[in-house]
Amino acid sequence: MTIRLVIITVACLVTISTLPAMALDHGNLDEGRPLHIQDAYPVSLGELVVEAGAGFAWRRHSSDHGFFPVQFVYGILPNTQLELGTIFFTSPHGIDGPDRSGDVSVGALYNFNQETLTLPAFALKGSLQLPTGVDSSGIESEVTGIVTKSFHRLTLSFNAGYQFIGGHNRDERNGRYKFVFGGGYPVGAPMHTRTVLLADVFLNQASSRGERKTLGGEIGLRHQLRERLVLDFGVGSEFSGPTNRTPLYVNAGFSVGF
Amino acid sequence: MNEKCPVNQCIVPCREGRMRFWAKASTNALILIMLSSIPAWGQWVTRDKRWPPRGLWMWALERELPQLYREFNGIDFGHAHLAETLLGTQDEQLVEKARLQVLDFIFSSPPVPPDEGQIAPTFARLVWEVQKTFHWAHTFHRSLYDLFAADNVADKEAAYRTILDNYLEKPEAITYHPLDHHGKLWSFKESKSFAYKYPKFNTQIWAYHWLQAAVYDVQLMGSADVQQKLLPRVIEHYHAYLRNPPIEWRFMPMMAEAAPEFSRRFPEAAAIFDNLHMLHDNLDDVLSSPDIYPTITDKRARILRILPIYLHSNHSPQDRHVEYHTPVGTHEMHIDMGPRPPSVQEVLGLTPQSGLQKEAPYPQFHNNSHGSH
Repeated sequence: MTIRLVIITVACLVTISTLPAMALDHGNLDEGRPLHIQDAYPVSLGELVVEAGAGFAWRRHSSDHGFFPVQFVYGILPNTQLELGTIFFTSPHGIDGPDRSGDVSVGALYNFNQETLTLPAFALKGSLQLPTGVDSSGIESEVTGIVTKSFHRLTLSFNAGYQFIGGHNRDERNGRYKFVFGGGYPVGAPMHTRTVLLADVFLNQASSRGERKTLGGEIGLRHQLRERLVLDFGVGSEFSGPTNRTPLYVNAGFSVGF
Repeated sequence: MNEKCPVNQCIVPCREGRMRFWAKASTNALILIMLSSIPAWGQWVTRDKRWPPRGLWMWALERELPQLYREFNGIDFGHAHLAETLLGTQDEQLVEKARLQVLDFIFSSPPVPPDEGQIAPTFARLVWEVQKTFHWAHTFHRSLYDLFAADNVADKEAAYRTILDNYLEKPEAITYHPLDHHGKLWSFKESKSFAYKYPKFNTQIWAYHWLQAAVYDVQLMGSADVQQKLLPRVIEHYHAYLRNPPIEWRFMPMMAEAAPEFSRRFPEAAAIFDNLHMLHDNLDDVLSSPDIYPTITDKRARILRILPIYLHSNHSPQDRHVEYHTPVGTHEMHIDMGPRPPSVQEVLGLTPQSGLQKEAPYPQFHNNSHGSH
């Protein structure tokens, strides 16, 4: 049932992506498209972006699974974006950690300033994950501080977040830290600016007490196919962490602006 | 593992303690970054990127006039690449190389607009205040091209008013007051330096502005089908300018010259675009005057003194720059501007040439400096 729903959703979004829309900032990074790293910039005021994708994770000592994130992003106020999304997994009962298949997340990112030659850009993001999914038990909330600083065409971002875990068991923490550091570089600029190469490393505290924190890295790219359609691809690995970590995962998707 | 846990003071640092340590270290690093940025907080500027006003006209240009759409994508590259080049060098050969790169880009018929922030990262971060003024004015430009390419919008005058009002209500909007381009705004101490030093690049840019103006009058001649039929000849004329920049021009093309009908029917937009093009010229003069503005700080300061002259919020409701308005009762063309560009009607052979000194509708070209295209 869930797989059918995912297929229908993705098919609808692919259809939507062929409709006319408007210039998308393909250098603007949102979490999950395609890497963990996000930059300090929101979408334009009044812009609606649909982001969706499909990926697969190969896990150690746990079931492999596909995942299908979908997110709507809207520039609701000046320098502010509102996010509404969910993620589906192919084996929803076998998922560890606080993210559950079908959980709806609502969030907002506020950008304080534009980066200048000396001053980085700062942003604050807050989100709520509602227990609408399979085996979900509590509300998770997360607060993330984001800093973006560029060195000519190389743009680096640092994300420091704290996730408050609701409905946790006795052996689970009530919250955990998340850090991501990474960035992007436009391959072939200035003559070619359609493809941005991305990379990041991330460190997540385990949600269960006694488990090792997860350290991983990812590389990917975002390519502007049309004015309002950006494709992305990422591949990553959790180098170290709990025994059931994910040594390899891939993720591909698109963002389309309306 | 003999060191003490920095958080809980355990003999053996637990995982939680190490995690807390790193969390605190990261928080402190963020605070340090912010504190170290304090001297630069005078540059604090909000991003304020905006989506175009929504309406039935949206995306009509790309759909109905794809060739023109690609030409405009090429033009977007031109200004940004020039600004970034001039921030790095004044060497004539390197600037000429940049000009030829712009031509290569334009003639590649780019299918998507280039990312100006990645073409000119230094310029965008140096004066974001100006960059967002350009963004918003270019968005206004694109919305009007969409409008006049949209056969499904019957009342174009009403839609024009909607788009204009939406444009003007934002603080970075350029004013529709006709400003004294030929006088005060062309008499700064750095004025004309770009035109003198790099005449080919300068008139190549003026050729972009000629096309941007001329297209409007073509669009007023009929439906999207009619526009499709007429535009290739106009684009061909524009490409001739690119191959052989019209260095005999001594002043930028004015909207009323290239698009007299549009300027008569939509004077606010015409004035905004003339002002926009003059602002581009003013900035290029600052960037090509290192003798007057040797440092990045000097350039930024000078540009930020020029920008307020153009902002609509400084002209309405209270006029803070009345001295820059076109003097009442005078026409701007009181300086020797050399041969003037033709109107699009003249290019299309629809009207005889006026008595003004103008170049031939099909210019006699000098040395073919970029004949490979």
